Amino acid sequence: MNKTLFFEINNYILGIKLNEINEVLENKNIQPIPLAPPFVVGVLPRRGKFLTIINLLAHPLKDISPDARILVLEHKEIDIGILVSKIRQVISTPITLPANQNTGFPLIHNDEKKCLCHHLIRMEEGIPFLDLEKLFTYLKKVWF
Amino acid sequence: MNLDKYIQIFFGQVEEYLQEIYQILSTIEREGTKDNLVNQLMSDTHSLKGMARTIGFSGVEELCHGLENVIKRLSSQNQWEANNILPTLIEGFALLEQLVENLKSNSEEKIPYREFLSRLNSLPLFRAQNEFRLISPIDLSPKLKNYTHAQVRTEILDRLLNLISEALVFQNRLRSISKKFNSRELRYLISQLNDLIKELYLQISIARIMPIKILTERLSRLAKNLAKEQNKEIEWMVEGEHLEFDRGVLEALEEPLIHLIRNAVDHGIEKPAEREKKQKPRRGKINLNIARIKESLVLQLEDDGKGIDLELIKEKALKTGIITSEEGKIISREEILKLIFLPNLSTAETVTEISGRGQGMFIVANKIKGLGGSIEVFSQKDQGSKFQITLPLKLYILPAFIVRVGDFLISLPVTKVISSTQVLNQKIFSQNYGEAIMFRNSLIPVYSLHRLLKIESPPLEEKGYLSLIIIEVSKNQTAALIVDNFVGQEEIIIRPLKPPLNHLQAFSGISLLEDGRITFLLDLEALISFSKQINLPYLFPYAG
Repeated sequence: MNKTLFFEINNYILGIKLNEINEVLENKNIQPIPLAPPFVVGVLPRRGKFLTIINLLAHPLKDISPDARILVLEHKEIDIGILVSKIRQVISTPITLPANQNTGFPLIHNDEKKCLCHHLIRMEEGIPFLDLEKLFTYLKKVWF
Repeated sequence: MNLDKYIQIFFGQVEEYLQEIYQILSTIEREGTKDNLVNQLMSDTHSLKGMARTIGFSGVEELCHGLENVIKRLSSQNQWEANNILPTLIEGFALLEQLVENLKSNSEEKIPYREFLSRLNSLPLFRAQNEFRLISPIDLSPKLKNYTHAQVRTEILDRLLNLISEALVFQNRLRSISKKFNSRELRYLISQLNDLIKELYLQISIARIMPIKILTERLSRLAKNLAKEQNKEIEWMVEGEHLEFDRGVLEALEEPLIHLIRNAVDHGIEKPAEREKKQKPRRGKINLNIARIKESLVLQLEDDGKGIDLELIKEKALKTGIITSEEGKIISREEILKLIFLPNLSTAETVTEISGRGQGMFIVANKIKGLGGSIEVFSQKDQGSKFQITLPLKLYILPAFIVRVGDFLISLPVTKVISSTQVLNQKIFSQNYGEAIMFRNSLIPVYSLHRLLKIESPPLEEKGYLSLIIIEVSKNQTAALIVDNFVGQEEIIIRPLKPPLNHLQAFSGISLLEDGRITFLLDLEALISFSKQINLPYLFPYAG
């Protein structure tokens, strides 16, 4: 049985396989980076290393609450953290979300350099999952 | 030179090598000779010989040399022959072990290794099998208590170093906080903690030391393979491969050296026929010289190929707009050579699988700078090129001058800071290529770090004074940077920028300050070359 962590970014809910997450951190001590792309929130010192934190939307996270968390992901030896509004829950999948939940990921901006577009997700049995391969491919294309 | 430390390391490495050698001999006895086993045996013996030579243990060196000659016979496919050579080898390595034990314990006991070597020369090599006991794995395995070294995975050492680095930062913060309390005991405990953490840091740093030979052997194979692929002949020589350095230094050097070697083979060394036409030896030479000079590691990679075509570089630089035609008229030889470290400046007629895209030298320079080092190039047409890389050995701890620019803290190596001052903003005036200021009777360019880093700065009119820091951008090139204010000086533990942060062109490292804030180590040369403010004449000494 696969376990999926559901998280919220503003009003949108996405899933990610639990085994794709290294760690979940509190949203604190993030420090901005000069000359970094707009979707880079900053860098967080973590056990002698420095973790880059990114925002999956083009606009800053609205009303960042104390519930905001950082999901630490690793892909091909590159670590990044994604800032999310809230961690919802971990559920064994597959499941079906209630019909009234907005599960779409917004296409905010046409300028690819300013936003991470909605095609970073993959649909799996009706649930939008954050696709790490697509995410890192995109980041490599626009930044590193 | 004090060899004591190296002698201890030598003794440790002998144990490891002998362990492997005995295992190989045992495997050969059970399973027969195989090329990979014999090659490994030869390689291990050769390494022992080299190390002994470096330390000055001539007896060990001599014995290893004799054993190498025996091993060469072992490469025959004849199993009967191999089985008869094995006892000789076992005897020889047993003598080697005793010889090293003697040296370790300063014993006067005479080890008959010279007699053994004489017998090798005068008697048939083969012995009847029944003269020696057949080897069993148990006989060959060294006693556990003889192990004085343990292998530790490098990722564990990295993690330990990271944790200690962070502990050092927290310790510094604790010390800052303790100043608020008037407690002698607290200060004493923090001082003890400081000493303990620093000692841990030192010991872990020592544990990370590795012989550079591990890198140079790889480079040697690379150079020879590359030459073979291109039907070129080379003679590869290395000096100083007995030296040892921090694993991080060696890892970081690998990519730049690989690139330099690729360039040397691909663009430097000519094909044999072409070399003969130029009355050069058919075989091109590539020399790698490694030396430790005071607190620096100095590497020189030199080839005797066709050298760098300065006219071609200048032409390419003019074509791509890196320099203007006026600048092209006054640019010196040395300045042209430095251009090869800028991106998109390959002069290769074709892009090969190996090199030629114009990014390699830029990446090399960036990588070296990221380690706090420098790279220089010397070249003569048809005579060859030489690259010299200088790296500080104390990679991690850097005395830094910290400035504030907007909300950011930016660090500069103290060694690069000439002066810090405050000037009236009227002292800065515009030139054709940007802003400048008089400093010690010379006109030097002024750069706004706000502008370069795209940070909002307060309007100039509001501030009567500007905070300026005068720095050495590179040899003979000085510049002034406008900042918000000077924060201070601190010894910082610099971490290299790892992906994805390594794509921040303006910086060569990152660090955590005592108060937990992050600072970035500025690479001004890289920053200027990427900013729209680039005006190349300001990187040259200004005549005026």
